[in-house]
Amino acid sequence: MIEHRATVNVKIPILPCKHNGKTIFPTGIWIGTYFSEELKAVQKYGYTFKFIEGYEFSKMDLFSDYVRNFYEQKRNSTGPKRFIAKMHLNQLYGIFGRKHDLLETVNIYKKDFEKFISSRIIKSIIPINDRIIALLMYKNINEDIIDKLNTELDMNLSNYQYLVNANVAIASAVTSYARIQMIPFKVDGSCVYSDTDSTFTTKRLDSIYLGDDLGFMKDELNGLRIKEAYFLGVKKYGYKLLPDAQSLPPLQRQQ
Amino acid sequence: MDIETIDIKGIEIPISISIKTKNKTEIFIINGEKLLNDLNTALKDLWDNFFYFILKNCNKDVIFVHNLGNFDGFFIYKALSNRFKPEEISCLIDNHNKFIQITLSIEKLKIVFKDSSLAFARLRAKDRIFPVSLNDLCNILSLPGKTNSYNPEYHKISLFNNEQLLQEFKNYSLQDSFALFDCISKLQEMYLRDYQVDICSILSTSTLSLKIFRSKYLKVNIPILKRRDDNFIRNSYFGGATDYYQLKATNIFYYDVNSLYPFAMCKPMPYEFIRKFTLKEGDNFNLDNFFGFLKVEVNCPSLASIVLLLLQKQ
Repeated sequence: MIEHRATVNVKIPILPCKHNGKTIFPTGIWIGTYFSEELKAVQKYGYTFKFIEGYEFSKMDLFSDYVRNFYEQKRNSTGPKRFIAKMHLNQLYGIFGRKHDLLETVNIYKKDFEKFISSRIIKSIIPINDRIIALLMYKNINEDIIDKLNTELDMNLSNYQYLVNANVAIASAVTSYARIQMIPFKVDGSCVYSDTDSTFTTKRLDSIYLGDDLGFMKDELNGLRIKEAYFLGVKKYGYKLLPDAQSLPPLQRQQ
Repeated sequence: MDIETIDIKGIEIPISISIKTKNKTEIFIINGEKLLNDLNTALKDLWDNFFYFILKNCNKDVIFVHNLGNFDGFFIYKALSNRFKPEEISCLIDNHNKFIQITLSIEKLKIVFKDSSLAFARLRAKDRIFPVSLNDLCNILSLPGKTNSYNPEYHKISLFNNEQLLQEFKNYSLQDSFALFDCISKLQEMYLRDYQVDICSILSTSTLSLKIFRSKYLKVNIPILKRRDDNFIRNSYFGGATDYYQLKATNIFYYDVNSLYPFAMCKPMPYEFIRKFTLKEGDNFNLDNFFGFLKVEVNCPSLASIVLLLLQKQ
């Protein structure tokens, strides 16, 4: 048995973290909650963990049939059918991440205002005319917060609870898997800019990554190269292409 | 339906409301003279005419409004609030304070206003929202769409001094309602035929997707998470990663993943919640055998080195 010692530098951080309402990719030490598969994926790149708390789930394939059906439809059709397929491919996962807090809007007579202000959490008050105002109120607020407010302020806030049909575990897993898929392209040293699902690189990607199938990379420029590109910020970039003649012949795509 | 406005001293004032139903097409235009002398009465008359029409012709209907999420929703909501009793109006708004739906119910009469762009003309791909214009939607659906283009003169009060321009404007405004009606009818027909879903019954493309998924593809019940568990797991819900590492680059390539999120959806999903536990220092825990969500203290050494142990048989 041989012990290999290798040095790994985390030059390009790949694990997100929420900081003041923004998502950042830090280095250093912090506490966060992650989908297990993402932790397994970033471990190889130098990240280490102390485990604090866990929520264990069983595994299940839920969406392959749905996705494959609409992906085939997207690939093999044009016009409205393609539009519909594309829409349903992209629209489903997000609904599982819906928040539980809801906003409720009601119109009330001004004379009834007191009743509402003493019993509900109000976001905005919009005057309609001299008799009527519109109230935007929160409902389905976290019960712990309501309990705390009621005890500490000696109030009697009510909170209408009803079940929102959502499952954030699914939404979180989907976005984690998407980030995992992009890791190799971010860390390979030739990436100059990367987006949720795209990358600009100084090196031509190996043909094993290219193909028409779901999850494969597609050459956005069809064999052309970018002569000059500027990246001024997130989603703010511009580029100029090289003329055709100077481009390399397109690589054989994997079928 | 669609609303057109003009700019009077920096304020957008609705001046025309067009509506197309199965059998009728109507356009209501504000009185140009009154508009200058008594704006409030002019607006009241405009809306009263419109409400009279829908109360008579649109009971139990869903009226798709091209821009309910933006200006048009505020105009309609305010006009309804002025005209009807508070308890006769209800609405749904999203977290960005945009209208999703406004309902008017008076005894047995019910009319629902829905946002057509929320329902159909918005492609929410990854974390971006692409609003698809009515024209694009017409193109996609191979419908004729709008033929006359917008004239900036339509947005000025001088419109009412030019009979010919006003006529052009009326035709232009009607086109929007025609185009919208055609789009919605075509989509309704397709969805009823292919998925047996009535698009008047849904609120957004996401709820439409969910409805199709549930009726045709879902073999098991997806559990709903308890509020406290939701709060824990929600901390792990991040959007996509975007980063730039160089300001300028030359001679580069550009690649894009085919349907990244749908691809990710085909992987094993967390399904039944089995258990939760806390770990103390020294507790034995093997990440490789675990599937779920973990609260961890992460250490990401910026330029530190770690030791990789590779076991290799000689």
